Amino acid sequence: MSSPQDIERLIARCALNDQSALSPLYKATSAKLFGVLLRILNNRSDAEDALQDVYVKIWHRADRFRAGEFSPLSWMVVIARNHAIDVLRARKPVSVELDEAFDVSSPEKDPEQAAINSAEGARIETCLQELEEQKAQAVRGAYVDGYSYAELAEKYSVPINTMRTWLRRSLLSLRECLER
Amino acid sequence: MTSRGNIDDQTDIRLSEYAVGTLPFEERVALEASLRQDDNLQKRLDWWQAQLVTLSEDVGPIAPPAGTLAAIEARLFATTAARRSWWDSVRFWRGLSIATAAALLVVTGLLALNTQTTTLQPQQRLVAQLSGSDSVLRVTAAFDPATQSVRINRTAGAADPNRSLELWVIAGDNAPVSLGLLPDQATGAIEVDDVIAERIMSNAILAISDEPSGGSPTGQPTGAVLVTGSVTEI
Repeated sequence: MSSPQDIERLIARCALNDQSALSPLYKATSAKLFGVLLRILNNRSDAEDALQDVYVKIWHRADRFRAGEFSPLSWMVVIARNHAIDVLRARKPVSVELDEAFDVSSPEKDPEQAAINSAEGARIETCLQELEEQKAQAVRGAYVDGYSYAELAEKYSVPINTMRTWLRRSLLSLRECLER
Repeated sequence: MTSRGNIDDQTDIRLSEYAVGTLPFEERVALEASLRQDDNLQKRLDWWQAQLVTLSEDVGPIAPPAGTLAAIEARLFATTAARRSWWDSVRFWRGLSIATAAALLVVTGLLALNTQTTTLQPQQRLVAQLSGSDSVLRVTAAFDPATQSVRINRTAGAADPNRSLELWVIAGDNAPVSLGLLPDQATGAIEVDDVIAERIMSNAILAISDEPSGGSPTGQPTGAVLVTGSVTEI
């Protein structure tokens, strides 16, 4: 098992064009990235192609990795996820109109729960617990499984525009909690 | 504490939808264009992505198929060592006119800046006019992505006796890859595989070198590079 420091060092060597760093970086991280890609793309051969593309991107962007916001593995997972979503969304482009002027103010929250969370430090898992269970599930499904608004709308039997409004409200509540 | 800065709420929600992955395709493409131009926007997106990425912890690792690493290494590093000897050789540079060399430097410079090459749509056609100041050889090469073939039209010059002319594609920083020998006739076609087709479509340069009869024995150009031309879309 490679430590974050090991992975960070390997990324730094990739940034310096050290070709011998790619293989250990791949060995330490590819199963995780393949898991993420396969879960979203739901097709082995697409996930294989995507895995190649993702490591090519990682190699070229290695010089842009800065420790700070992300752990090195998280940085790689984000590149993999974004790539997978790009592939998915391009496959079946659907636009989703917003069905009302979207009100960004005052998402509803439970003050008691909020106090507990702020004491523990606002993390995504804690913040998701502040949402209604279905809404938290929708955010999780969108993130982990790559569900589109159309797929979510079908799952929760609501019109697609309503689904979008719903999820945006959930994201606002999350923001409020995460920034608390 | 956070990097929201002066990003308005509507934009911020769009960034969060992008990070979650639900942002519809057209909006996603538009936002990606803005992200490339606005560092603050990218920083804020990083914040959202860093918040959400822990959700991936529930996704278990799955071993990818064997051979994937080799495929990635082939895409990234294909025979870089062989390229260097050719690239640095005096003969190569002597074979190029100053103008061609300057154009080549500009093109390779642009490629270095823009590593994300665009893939062309199948209906587009690509052409390269190959010429060099020290050679009478003139060749037009047209690539048709639909049939994955390069049509060759040699309008002047020919291979020397007991020598062959070999066609190469150079994409970005990669080593030249052989497309094969030029046909003996003035016109003909060379079919290429997916890897070479992809390179031709990546703002590549085509080059023809003088080789021993039957082609380069090493897989890299060994003789003088007689003519070059960059691939352009028509």
